[in-house]
This record gives sequence, C-alpha cells and structure tokens, in this order.
Amino acid sequence: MSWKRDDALARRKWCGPVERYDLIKEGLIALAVVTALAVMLTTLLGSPRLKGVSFQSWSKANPSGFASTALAELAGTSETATYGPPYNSGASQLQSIGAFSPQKWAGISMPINAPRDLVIEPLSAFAPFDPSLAQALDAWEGASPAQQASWASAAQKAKVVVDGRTVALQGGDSGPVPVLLGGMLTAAQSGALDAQLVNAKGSFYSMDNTKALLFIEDGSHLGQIAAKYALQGNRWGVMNEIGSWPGQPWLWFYTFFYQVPPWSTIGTDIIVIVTVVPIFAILFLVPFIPGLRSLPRALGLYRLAWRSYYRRYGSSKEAGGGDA
Amino acid sequence: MIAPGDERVLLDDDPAKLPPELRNTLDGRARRAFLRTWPPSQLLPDAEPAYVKSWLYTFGVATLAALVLLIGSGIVLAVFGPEWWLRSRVGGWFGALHYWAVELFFLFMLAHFIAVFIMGAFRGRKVTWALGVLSFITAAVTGLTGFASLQNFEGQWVTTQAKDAINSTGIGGILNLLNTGRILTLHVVVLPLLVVAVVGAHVLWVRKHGVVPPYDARPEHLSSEEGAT
Repeated sequence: MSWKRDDALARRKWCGPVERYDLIKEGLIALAVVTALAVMLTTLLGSPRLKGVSFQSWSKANPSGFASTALAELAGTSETATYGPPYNSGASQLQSIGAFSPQKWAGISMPINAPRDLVIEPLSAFAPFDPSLAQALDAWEGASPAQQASWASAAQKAKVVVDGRTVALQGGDSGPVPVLLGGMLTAAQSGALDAQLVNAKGSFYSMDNTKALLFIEDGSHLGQIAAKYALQGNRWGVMNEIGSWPGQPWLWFYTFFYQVPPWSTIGTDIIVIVTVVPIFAILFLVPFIPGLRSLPRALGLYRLAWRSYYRRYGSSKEAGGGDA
Repeated sequence: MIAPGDERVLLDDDPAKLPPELRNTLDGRARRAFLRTWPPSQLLPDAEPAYVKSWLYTFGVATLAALVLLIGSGIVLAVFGPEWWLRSRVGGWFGALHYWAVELFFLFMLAHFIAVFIMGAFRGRKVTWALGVLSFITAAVTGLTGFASLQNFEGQWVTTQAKDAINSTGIGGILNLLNTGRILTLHVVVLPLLVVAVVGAHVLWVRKHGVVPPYDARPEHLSSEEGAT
C-alpha cells in the first residue's frame, strides 16, 4: 500500500470498537510505578559523588604542575590565553570548516586576558601583605611588553623547581616571575585563591566560574582525574561517568561520532555538529522522506503491536482491501 | 447594554445567542477555539479505540510520569539549594533521585520513540511527530545543563569538555556552561518550562488527533471524516 494512502487513512476519525480507558488512572499508576522504581534505584545505587577540583587541592597534589600552568597563563601561552572567540583573538581553539566558522563570526563576547585576569589581578590582592610580591608585581607591570615576553620566555625554558611554597626557575633571566609564581602557589595552597579572586575580584557575589574553570582546565590535574575514570573524549567523553553509573546516555548519538573515523581523526567538534544537525533534521522530516516513512510498514513489527486487534477484527486485506 | 439578570451572559459556545457586545471578546474566542479543538470528552475520554491495548502504549505515559517525578524532585532540590545536595546525606539522596528520574525519563522516551516508529505513528500526525522530536532535543539540552549544575568533579569535567563544542557553534556567549549561576537558572526555570511546553503541546496534539490507527485497519472502523493533520 502506498504511503499516500496510509497517510490519508490514518487521518480519518476512528469509528470502530472502543474499550474503557481511564487516562488519569493510568497516569497515577505509572507515576506510582516509576516513583517506586526510581526510589529503589536511588536507595540501592545512589549517584556518583566526587568532590570538585579546587586550586587548593590541585596545587597541593601537583605544585609544579600548578606553577607551570600559572606560568603559561602569565606568559599568554596557555589554551585559554590563545583560545580565540568567545574569549580572545587567539586561534588555538578556533574551529572552522573552510570558510564556515560560526565561532569566528560570533566574535569575542566574554573577553578574557589570561595574564591579567588569571594571575596579576588575583595576585594583587596579596601584595599588601607581602612586600616582595608587591615589588615583583611592580616590576612586571612596569616592564615593557618586550621585557615581559623575554622574562616569560626564559621562565618557560627554565626548569621549574618547587620547594615548599617557593618556586625557583633554573636557567635564564626570568626577572620577577619566580616570585609571582611563588605568590600564586602560596595563595592556591592556602585556599585563598578559591575561587572568587579569579572569578570576580572586587565583587562580593559571583556565580560565574568561567575564569576559574578555564584556569583549572589549562592544567593537567583535572584531565588526569578524568583519565583515571576513563572520561576523555575518545572514551565517550561527557556521556560517560565515573564508576558504572549510566551518565548521559541521551548524548550517545552525538558522542558516537567522536569515536569513529573520519570524525575521530579530524577531531573537531564542528565537524560532528554539522553531521548531527542534518541527521536530526531527517528525524524531524521522517513523514516527508520517501522510503524512510514507509520503513515501519516494510519492517512489519506493527503486527506485533496490534496483534490483538488483528486477531479479533482482522485487517482491511482480509476485508478485500476496500475503503470506508 | 447588558440588562441586569440577563441569563444569556453565560458561557455559550454559540456567540449568536449572546448580546452583540459580548460576541467578539478575546476570552470568548479563545474559549470557543479551545473547546472546538479539545472538547473535554476528547481531553479526558472514557474510552479509547480497541487497538490501544498494547503494553507498547505505556511508554509514553511512563515518560510523562518520570517527568512529573523529575519536576517534583527538582523542586525539592531547588528549595534547599546546592550546599544541601552536595553536603548533606538527605540532600544527596534527593540528588540521586533526580538523577535516576532523568535516567528513567530518557529510557522510557527511547522505548516510546521505538514503539511509535514501528507503528508508523507519524502517519497523518506530522506536527505530533515533530513535537516529539523537539521534546527529545529540549530535554537533552536540559539534561546537559543539569550535569553542568552539579558543582562537583563531574560538573567541572562536563562543562569544560562540552564548552568547546558549544563555542564552535558561535553560541558560547549565550550558553556558557562555565557560568554556573546562569546555567543553574536555565536548568531550574527556563529549560523545564520549555520542556513542559513542548511535551504539553505533544500530548495535546495526541489528544486532538487521537492515537494513530493500525496499518490496514478494517475499513468500516474508519469514518470518512478527517481528524488529523
């Protein structure tokens, strides 16, 4: 039978046999059953609870890693510092397919100056207590951009040695940088850097964790914990979850593309998105797509769904395929 | 003027019976349009076609039940706030209930999707189908913002990982997963309203056009009058 005929017949109002039905009763029973099931799962299995990473926990677990990340922020070489829109004019995370780049077109809507916002500004809060830090900050801010770049470059080539809360950079002239990094490490380990100073210095309230989260993501600590629980992008990423909890299975269809070539080898989000969007468009348009819209009839599984109807009343085929 | 005690000033489906000045009120028009489209007997019927007897039909209502549980547990979490669900035992239990409610919600939605697809339920019901697909998309975004609002390690991981994909589409400035306050209010207020609106419209459309009849239904069981679009 053609789709057009199937479609037209399905528009007609039902005038065949009916049976008692109570929507509210069915809804209440469903609510009771689903609630009981959820309460049972909750009580037996709970849900994953893993405390978030803080500057304090990160800097204590990996002081030199924290100091190196703070240095990358100061030098303007971190992922955040070079990201691109919506944070700045960098390009390290700018995604495009040829000339198609909505990220670029949207521009910089949340400006982030990594050296200033993530290092200098938070550190300046501690300068009144620490004359050597105040001096180092003055030296950094009073230096020319070329001098700052030279210090930062030398610091990144040097070996980072952490002793307690002191940071030493072995090799080259890195100017005030070791003192600045020592200040960051001290502030982080004491807990003073969490998290308002990074998020919104000078404001009493802030619920915007953009800067602090970007800073933490720039380090390797967060990723190491994720790797321990197999949460990286090539292991189904954000869909996955620690332990054996189900995570976000509704993202399966999206994260699937990160696991298979060519998407996994290209490795950009935008290529997955331009793949998934048309597939969802197809899903919307199922009733309009020849072949696809006739698939349920071809599969024949509907016979199982309505087997009691067919058994009891037969079908139009048995009635000679006639029309009402 | 409406005369005192004029009994015609009652709800009436026939505007011709009303005094002229009452025939074109927006209230009356809206009421008549609603009742025409969704007569109470169709919204809350006593009976359904005999073919609506398969257990496959229970997945839709189970999805709605899980949505009710999600909203209920979400209200409890919203009343007591993040510190409660992060640090107290009872709060953690309600957080886990919300978590399992969303897992069940999507599980039943998937089962409902498979069931309605194998029944070719989009026949004569294109708007209902589109609203169903839209329900999934809005619910998936709401689910993502829920994980982004957790304020624990997973919240940190999900937000920092998912932000790149969102940024790549150019809407990172609007849907900034790292702005915890904004994502939390989106998750608690804006997106649930959207989900309830879309799911509500989906259900109303099902009630308006009825449940799709079986393929090859007996010809005498289908009237010549059209009801679906």
